[in-house]
Amino acid sequence: MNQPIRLAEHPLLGPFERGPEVEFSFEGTPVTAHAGESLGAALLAAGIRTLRVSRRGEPRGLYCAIGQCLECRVVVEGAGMRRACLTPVEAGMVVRRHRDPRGSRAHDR
Amino acid sequence: MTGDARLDVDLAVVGAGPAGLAAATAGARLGLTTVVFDEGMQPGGRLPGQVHHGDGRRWHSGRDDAERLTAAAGEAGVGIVTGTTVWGLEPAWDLFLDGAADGPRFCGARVVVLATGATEVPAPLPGWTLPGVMTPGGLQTMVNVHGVVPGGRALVAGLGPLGLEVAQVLSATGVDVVGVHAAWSGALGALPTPGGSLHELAHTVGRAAPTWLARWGSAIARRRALSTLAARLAPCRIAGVELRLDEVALELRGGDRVESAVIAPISGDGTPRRDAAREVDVDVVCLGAGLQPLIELTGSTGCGLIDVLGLSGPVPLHGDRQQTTVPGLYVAGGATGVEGSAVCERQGTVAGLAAAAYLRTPGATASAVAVARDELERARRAAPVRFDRHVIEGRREMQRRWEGACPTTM
Ligand SMILES: Cc1cc2nc3c(=O)[nH]c(=O)nc-3n(C[C@H](O)[C@H](O)[C@H](O)COP(=O)(O)OP(=O)(O)OC[C@H]3O[C@@H](n4cnc5c(N)ncnc54)[C@H](O)[C@@H]3O)c2cc1C
Ligand code: FES
Repeated sequence: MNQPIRLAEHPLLGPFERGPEVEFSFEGTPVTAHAGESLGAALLAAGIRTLRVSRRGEPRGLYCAIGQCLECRVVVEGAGMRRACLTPVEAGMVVRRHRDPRGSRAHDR
Repeated sequence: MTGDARLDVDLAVVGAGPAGLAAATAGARLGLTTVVFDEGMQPGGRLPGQVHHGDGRRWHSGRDDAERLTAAAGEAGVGIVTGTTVWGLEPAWDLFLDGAADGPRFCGARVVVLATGATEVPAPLPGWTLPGVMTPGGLQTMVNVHGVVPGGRALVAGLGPLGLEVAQVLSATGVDVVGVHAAWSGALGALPTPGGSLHELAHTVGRAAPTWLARWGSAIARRRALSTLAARLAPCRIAGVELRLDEVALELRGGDRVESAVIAPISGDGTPRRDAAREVDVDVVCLGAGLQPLIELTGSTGCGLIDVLGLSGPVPLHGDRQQTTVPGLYVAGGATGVEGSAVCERQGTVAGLAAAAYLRTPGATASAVAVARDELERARRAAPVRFDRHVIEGRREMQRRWEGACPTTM
């Protein structure tokens, strides 16, 4: 399988202009991103696809990327539960997967 | 924006897509104090993710349209508040807001334009929640807005304009697109036959000249014997993408991400032939079942809704000034039926002018509204892509139903 990649240039639309590099943490691991991009895009670019774990222990990630499906819920320290696809990355953010507060049962699918 | 808990304006617009920005600009130019709320990070709605086929062979980004419309709104004095969800709307008019800690919590307005756009219809195949499975809109956003390509081998499940667009974009970025297939809808009924799918495609994407889809689509639109042609065309390989009208995606599999897709031929009666299924390795799946209008916020307004063939789902009953059954509530764009962005923008202008006329704003004349409405009709006829091939009849039917329900309302 291929890791996700960041394009320097879009084949049809030309070069991307990105904000300066910033660092935030996800599940305790540092992630490098560009200021202003969404947490969802930054995590995907870092190869992280599972953004939350459902009650049944299922991994869930970006689905619509436009705020409508609520599958991308993460917990941002100081801000609570957020949609990763609508939340701009900021330097020093501390982000964790959203897990069901009752705890999740092991993979029982 | 200030940290005031409450904001009061003449015109409040929900949604900063092409419809909402155009509506706000029209209102603000006539002197209304105007604010637009959007929960997205930037104004533009779905535009920044879109790749349009401009004149000739050039592509252009919806991002350019978003910038043009945002600049026009700014010049007209519109307040654009992003990162803010409108979670409630009550007549005469209160908007309830959830956004930045120092942003407003309520907005009072004399008139409201609802321009919340459209949303994707889920296609719940087994395995559809696996990470790596995304909607066409999700992939547009990742690849075209953020420049993040999520994997190396993709399957597109769901036949329609957006899936085809995404297949082409992914393929252009170097992703191996293993095929574009119908998505099995299980309990929702039998699949269209290959001939039926081809017919639908020809009438929706077939107008998107001058791309490969168009040349191919309009050629088939002229033919009669579609099923024979479909059988001959499927499988066919166009611009690096294999279109499989004869196969259906049945199931997606994986552990902590999608790893494979199960695909089967479609039998003559429109059911999958499970005995002949095959499994292909993929790390990205584009899964969509089309678009439907996003109209949740009308729920608390008492506005009448109606489902008319061609408009992609229930929408507020509305007249040709974009007015609804509730005085002071106007609608525009995808929330009134799914159409392309140029059409939505024109609808927004009509709604903004009509909202200003409702407030008896000088300059918001019947003739100004009529001119904007003519432009809307022109854009509709020229639209390169139709999300529903019955949309023109759908609009006519809506007007008939409006006149039947509200004969005296302007
Ligand atoms: C995923 C997707 C992809 C599309 N791709 C194409 C394409 O490639 N080409 C094409 O021509 N058309 C496309 N369309 C059709 C699209 O509907 C139009 O192109 C156009 O963008 C619609 O304009 P609009 O202003 O009505 O809505 P949108 O552009 O969708 O804008 C609506 C805005 O409202 C905001 N919003 C919604 N509800 C709330 C709320 N409660 N509070 C705050 N903000 C809210 C949203 O965040 C969004 O920014 C697509 C539609 C979707 C849904
Ligand atoms: S991915 Fe759907 S809401 Fe974020």
